[in-house]
Amino acid sequence: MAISSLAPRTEAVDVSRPGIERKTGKAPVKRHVRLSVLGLLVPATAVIGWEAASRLGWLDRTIASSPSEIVVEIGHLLTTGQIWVHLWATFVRVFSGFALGGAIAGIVGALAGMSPILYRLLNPSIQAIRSVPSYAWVPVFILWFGIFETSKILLIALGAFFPLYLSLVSSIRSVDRKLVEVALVNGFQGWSLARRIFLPASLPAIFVGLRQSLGLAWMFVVAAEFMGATHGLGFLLIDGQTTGRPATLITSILLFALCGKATDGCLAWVSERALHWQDGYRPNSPEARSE
Amino acid sequence: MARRLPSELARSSFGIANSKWKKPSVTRCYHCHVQLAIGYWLLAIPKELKASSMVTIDKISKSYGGDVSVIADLQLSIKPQQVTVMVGTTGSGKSTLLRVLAGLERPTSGGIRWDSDHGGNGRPNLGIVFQEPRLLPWLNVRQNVEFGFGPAGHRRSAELANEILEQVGLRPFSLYYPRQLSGGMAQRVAIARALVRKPSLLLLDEPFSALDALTRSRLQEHLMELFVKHSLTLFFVTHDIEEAVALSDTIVVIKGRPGQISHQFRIDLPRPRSRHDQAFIVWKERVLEALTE
Repeated sequence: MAISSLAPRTEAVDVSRPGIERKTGKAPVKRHVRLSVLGLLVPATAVIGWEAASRLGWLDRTIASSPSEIVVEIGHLLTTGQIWVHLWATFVRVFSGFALGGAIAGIVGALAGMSPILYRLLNPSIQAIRSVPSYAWVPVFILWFGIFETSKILLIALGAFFPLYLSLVSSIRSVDRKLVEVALVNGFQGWSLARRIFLPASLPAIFVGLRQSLGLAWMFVVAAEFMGATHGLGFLLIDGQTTGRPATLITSILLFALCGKATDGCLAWVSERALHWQDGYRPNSPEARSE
Repeated sequence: MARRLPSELARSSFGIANSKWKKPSVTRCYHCHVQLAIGYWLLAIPKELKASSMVTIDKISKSYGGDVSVIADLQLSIKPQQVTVMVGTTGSGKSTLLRVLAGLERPTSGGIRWDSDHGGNGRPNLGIVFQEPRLLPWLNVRQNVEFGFGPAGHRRSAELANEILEQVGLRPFSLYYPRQLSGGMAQRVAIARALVRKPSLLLLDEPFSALDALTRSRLQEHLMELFVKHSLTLFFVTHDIEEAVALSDTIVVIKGRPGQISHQFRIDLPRPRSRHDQAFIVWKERVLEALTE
C-alpha cells in the first residue's frame, strides 16, 4: 500500500480557494448596500435640517454657517487651488512626524521587547514621558526647536511614538513560547529568529499600533499648527476663527475627518492583506463588515 | 593500517598507555601477539552490538527552583533505528526528559552522550514533534514544512519538501494555512517538518494524544511506515499503553515524583501488530501492571 494512500480523505476542508475567504453571494451584497444607506440616514437628515434651520433664520449664520455656505467655501478653496496648499502642508507634517516617530518606536520597541535588560532600563522613563499631556510639550518644543517645521514635526513624532512603542513591546514580550521553541529546535537564533518568528508574530499588534500612531499624528498636527503656521488645515482653523468665518472652520474640520479616515483606511487595507493568515473571529455578515 | 587498527582497538579497550605501543610492528614480542588476537576478536563483534546506543542519558536530574525535582538520576540509552517508547503517568517528568534531549532545557545534573557515529561532534540532527502541531500560522503548509530546513537551507530543498509532503499525503494542501487544517492534518504537517531535517533522532512528545481514536491509529500506522522508509530512530513519549505496545521495540516505564525508570521491556512482537492478538493484550497488561504496582 502506497504511503500516500493512507492520507485521510475524509477530513473535510474547503478545497475551492486556499488562503482566501469565500466572497459573499449576490443577495448579501444587496443587503449590504441597503444597510450602508441606513448609515447615511442620520447625517443626511442633519444636513437637511441644518440647511433649513439656517434659511428659516433659526440659526445665527455668523456663528453656525450652513451646508450650502460650506459647499461654496470648498468650491472657493478648490478653484483658487488653496485647498491643495493646505492639504499638502498638513500631509507633509503628519507623514514626516509619523515616519520619524514610528521608526524610532520600531527600533526602541523591538530592542526593549527582545532584551529584558533594555526593557528595565528604558521602559520606566518612556512611561513617565508618556504621561505628560501632549499640549504641555508645545511651549517646550517652541523654546527648544523654534516655531518652524522642526518643532512641529518633532511634536507629531512624539505623539506617534507611544502607541507603536507600547504595542510592539507588549506583543514581542507575549510571543508564544511554543513557537519560539519550534524555531530553536530547527536552528533559528538571533536575527533569523527575530525575523522569522518575532516579527510575524507581533505583526497584528504592529498594525494596531501603527493605526493608533497615525491617529495621534493627526491629533498632534492640530496642536503643532496652532503653534503658528502659514499653511495647513490647522492654520485654516485658526484663520476661520480669527476672521469670523464659520464655513472655513467647519470645512477644515470636515477635511480633517476625511483625511484621517482615508489614511486609516489605507493602513487597514494593508493590514488586512498582510494578516490574512490570522485565525480570528471574522464574521462574514455584511453588518459587521460595513463599519 | 589494517594491522594497526586492531591493536589500537585493543589498546584503547584495555587503557594501556599509548607511548608504550607507538611502533608495534618493528620488534613484536609475546605481548603484542596477545594484543593483536584480542584486537581481531573485537573487530569480529557485530556492529550493532558495539554501537549499541545512539544516545546515552547519563544520570540526568532536573529540578525547578531548587526543591521540586521532576526527574532524578535517569539512566537510559536509546538504540539506533529502533522505537523507544517512554510511558508514564502525567507529571512523571517524561516530557521534561524529552525537552532536555532536545536542548530546550538544561539538566540540573548529569549529561547526555551522543554516539559519534550518528551525529559527529556533539548534538546530532534532531527532529521534534510536540503534543500540539505548533505550526506557524503565518506560513502555509509548504512553508511550514520548509521551516524544518532551518535558517540556511531554503533553496536546496524544495524537492525534498515536496517528496515528504507527498509521503504524508498533504501535497494537494501545500497552499493551505494552518487555520484551514484539521487536527490530524496539522499534526502530519508537524511530522513532515521534523522529517525534512533528515533527523538521526526523532523525538515525539505525545504527538497523537489530542486526536480522535481513528485518526490516532491511522497516524500511528503512518508513522511506522515512515519509520521503516527513512530508517529512523524514534524516542516517543506517551501515556497511552496501547500506543506504546503498538509502536515500540523497547518500552521504558517512568513513574514517581521525581520520575524514575522502574521497568524496561523489550517488545519483540512482529510488525504490523494486531491489537486483538493475545500476545499484544498480554503485553498491555504487563505494562499496565508495571505502571500501577
